[in-house]
Amino acid sequence: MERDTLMPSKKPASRAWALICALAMMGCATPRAQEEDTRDQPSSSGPRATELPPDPLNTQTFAAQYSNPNECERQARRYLPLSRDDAWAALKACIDGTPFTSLQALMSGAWSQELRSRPGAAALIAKVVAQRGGSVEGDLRLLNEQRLPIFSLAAAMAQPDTYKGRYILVRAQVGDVRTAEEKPTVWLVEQGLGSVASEQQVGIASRRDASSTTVGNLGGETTLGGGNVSGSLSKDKTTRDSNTVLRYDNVSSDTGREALGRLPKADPFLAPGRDFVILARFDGMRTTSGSLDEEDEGPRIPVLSIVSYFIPHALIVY
Amino acid sequence: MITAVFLSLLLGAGPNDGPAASSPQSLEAAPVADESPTAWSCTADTLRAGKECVFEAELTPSDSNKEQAASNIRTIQEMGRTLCAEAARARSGEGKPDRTLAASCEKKYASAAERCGLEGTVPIVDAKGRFAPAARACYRAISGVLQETQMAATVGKSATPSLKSQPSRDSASL
Repeated sequence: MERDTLMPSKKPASRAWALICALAMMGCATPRAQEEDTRDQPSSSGPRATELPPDPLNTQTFAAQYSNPNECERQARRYLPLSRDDAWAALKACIDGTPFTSLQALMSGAWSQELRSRPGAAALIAKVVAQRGGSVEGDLRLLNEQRLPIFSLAAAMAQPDTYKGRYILVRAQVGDVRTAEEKPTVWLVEQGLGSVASEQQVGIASRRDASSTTVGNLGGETTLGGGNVSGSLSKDKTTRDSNTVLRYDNVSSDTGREALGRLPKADPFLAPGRDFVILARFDGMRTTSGSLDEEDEGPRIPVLSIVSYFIPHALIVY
Repeated sequence: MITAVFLSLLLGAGPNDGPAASSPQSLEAAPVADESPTAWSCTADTLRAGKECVFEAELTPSDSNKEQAASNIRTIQEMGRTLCAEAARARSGEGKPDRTLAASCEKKYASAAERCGLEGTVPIVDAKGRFAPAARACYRAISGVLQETQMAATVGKSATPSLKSQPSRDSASL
């Protein structure tokens, strides 16, 4: 599993850009342009904060300044003209430090070059998918629309030669684990996301129980003789007032696809019984022993090299 | 003059450009697949335990097909005596193996091992004892013999109906 190293910004480049800006302001602008610039500025004193060059980046505190993840990403984007390393570090800080879920913002043209060339970009995308609830199938569709080469397990299994060595994103649970030469391999069971509907009470519910019993006794004499009749009448009534709404819960269930996932070392946090969004390389298909027919070619299982994994958020962003 | 200075500055000092060369971990890098075996390889241990496994090995094609085929069969047959002795022991692992069951197992095992030559194209197992992908039929055949023997040992059946043998003292009976 990889970990990015934050590169310091190149100071000479920043100075050169400052010089370019100074030259542009002093000698290159025409009087007409100056007039237009003056008109475009807000009437209040000074330019807006977003038009000023960003402060020197402090990755420890950068994300904490923004309660809105999208604002954090917008501010990270401001570093792009000055230092792509700083901009990338700022974006990572936003994704690590805020509940960032805007995959569309991440895939906007501004970050396109970084997403394709940075070594940790695939893991960063996987983390955003997990923060969006881990709806892998839907989010992969968005990624593939932008021609980002991260694919589904189903696609890789259907065409192993085409997808061999490529990145795979899968939502899965861990089953059994075996270790050889201190390198564990986990049995993964792919999970699909669905929803179940149930009625849930909202507001205050009231219930009223009423019960009444009437007892009577009748006696009398006739020419044929005396008689006595007695009896009782009871009445129960229950009234209940409540409001319910239809509620949908996310549930994950087995898709029927399984895979073997190689880990570089034992990882106690990749625990069985819970879902993970797993980024991995597809290493091809292997024949398993599991079939009663000796002559049959045998069922095949995909083998993955796990790059990173994340716990999906309970709420899903569509 | 100013334009020349401006252009030279623009060309020489842009924003730093991130990673100089494309990293092998980046999305634009060429696909990378790890062909090495996993921890789920089929070995004598998985055969013994009857566990699910995958056929993967690090093999080198052999030069002589005839010799390789004979060597493959010999390799499997050599494993047979030990595996049958273990399979003929009751699941609890206590006591000695049922000799009759073991003998029956060895006979069937030897017959199954005849299909383990793989036409001499590759070794049946690699240096670490992992069965070759082509060895699935062989593996399934000998695995079937061992499981049948284990079952008989577990339920205390002294001999399979196909083999008429003398009763053994060691064998348990229902």
